[in-house]
Amino acid sequence: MMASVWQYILAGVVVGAIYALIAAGFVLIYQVTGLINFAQGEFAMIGAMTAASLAGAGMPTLAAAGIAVVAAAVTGALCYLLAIRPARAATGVTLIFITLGLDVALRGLGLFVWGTNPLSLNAFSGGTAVTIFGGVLPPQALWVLLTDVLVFGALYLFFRHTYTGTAVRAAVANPPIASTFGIPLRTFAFWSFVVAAAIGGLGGVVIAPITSATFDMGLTFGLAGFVAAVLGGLESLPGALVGGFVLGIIVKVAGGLLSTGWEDGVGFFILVLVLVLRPQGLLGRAVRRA
Amino acid sequence: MTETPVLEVEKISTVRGRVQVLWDVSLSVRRGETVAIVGPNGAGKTTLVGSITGLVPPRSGRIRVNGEDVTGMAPERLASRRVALVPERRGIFAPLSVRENLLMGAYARRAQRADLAADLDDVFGLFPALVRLRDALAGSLSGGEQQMVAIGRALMAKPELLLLDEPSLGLAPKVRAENFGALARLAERGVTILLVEQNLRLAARICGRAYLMQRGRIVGTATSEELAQSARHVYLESHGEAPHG
Ligand SMILES: Nc1ncnc2c1ncn2[C@@H]1O[C@H](COP(=O)(O)OP(=O)(O)OP(=O)(O)O)[C@@H](O)[C@H]1O
Ligand SMILES: [Mg+2]
Repeated sequence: MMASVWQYILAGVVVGAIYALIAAGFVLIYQVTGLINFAQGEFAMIGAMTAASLAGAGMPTLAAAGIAVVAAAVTGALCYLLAIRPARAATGVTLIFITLGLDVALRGLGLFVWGTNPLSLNAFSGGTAVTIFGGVLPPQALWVLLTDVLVFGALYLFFRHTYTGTAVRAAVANPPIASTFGIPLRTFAFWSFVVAAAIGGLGGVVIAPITSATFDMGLTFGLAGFVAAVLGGLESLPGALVGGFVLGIIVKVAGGLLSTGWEDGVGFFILVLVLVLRPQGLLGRAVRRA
Repeated sequence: MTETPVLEVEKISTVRGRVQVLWDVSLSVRRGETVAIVGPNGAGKTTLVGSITGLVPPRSGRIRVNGEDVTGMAPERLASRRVALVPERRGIFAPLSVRENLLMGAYARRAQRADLAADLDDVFGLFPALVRLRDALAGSLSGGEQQMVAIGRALMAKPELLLLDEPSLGLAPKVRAENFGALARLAERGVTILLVEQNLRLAARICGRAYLMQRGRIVGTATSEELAQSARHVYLESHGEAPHG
């Protein structure tokens, strides 16, 4: 019993790392544009499916992974340019519906391009499973955790130690005043979509060898990433990181003890709980800066 | 031959929401001048500043900076014309450190690191109180210190035109005097300043002349001496009988 709970926790850490990446995308876009992008999970799907199909066609795994991340980033750029930017005068509710529409559209695109069959992707490296206190982690899990370290480390360095990163924080803190100093809010909005999509895509790519890739995986990952972001307060990248791991562990332990069918339900339950306890998190800041 | 004014505002009308706030406002500021805009609450002073910086574009009329028509230009583009704002209620970037706030003032300049370091030293020279606070979060500072940050940040833009919207607001007299001392030194250095100020005595201290604003219109002009005089007058009024409309 204890041994299996430990195993669930390890599994939770692995998916939690991916939730954290997707949550980081929610936070980035929310902070820079004031918008909750419900299409966030689909970037992971685009990444995973692109990598799996390219690798399936014979491309080396790492090359396929690289192209998949670029594909996700381009998708994010197009979402912003074609759907968000033209509607930036719309109200917050309209923009939320636009992102929900994007979510459905991208999933449809995934279905159209790749069909309903799951695609598999080889682990990035061979090697044997790692055993920690009797629990087992597949080699790919180390790639997943390494990805989190690199992504969150890079975000930290960017926001704390670069001039442009500081300007983004200024734009978040006071958009109109930042603009009077030449800080380009719309350019930052564009890049928040690109970077959020790239990070989401990367999450999909690194988890694909463990979960395999399906056209509808964005639904689960999007929901989980959103819950993780809300858990973390929606305004903080460290919060997204912690929220991802906390949610991953809760979901996997609950799913393991109850049944895997409960995983999404547990995620929803936690969302409702957080929204009841912290209702200002979502629509409290109705300002948009897309 | 007359020199082109740094700022020319020509008959602008500006609407906020559904209310027209500015009516045919015209003014100009020549290079090196320090000009005040005085007027009661709600006169439209902040809206006028907003129209100049592009935050609240006017519905009609023209705004020129150094002769270039900038009417309706987005704030981020106008920043590269070296117009810098010290906004009402300071508008500092609260979660950034003092140093980061100052550096952001220079964003439009795309300057080299070494230049920025020298300019930072300049600002710290003008506001020595900020030196030991350089790594503190700007949001944690006192109102007076935040005002220094807001002024220093605008100076980092190396402005051709410095706009200040009520920099004395909510500050203790001593801090206010210190900050206006710094503004006086800037004026001496030849920085062109347009200052919104309700405190006539403070305005008279650094400004050569003033525009009087009321209900969205420029209703008159005054010299520095006239400002100082009416400051005394207003003082007597508010300490004697109740002032009239
Ligand atoms: N967003 C807005 N929508 C509608 N009316 C507005 C808006 N902002 C300001 N106003 C109105 O415009 C008028 C001028 O406001 P403004 O802030 O420019 O005045 P001000 O001279 O700066 O006043 P104060 O000295 O109090 O700062 C006021 O009557 C105000 O109520
Ligand atoms: Mg005002």
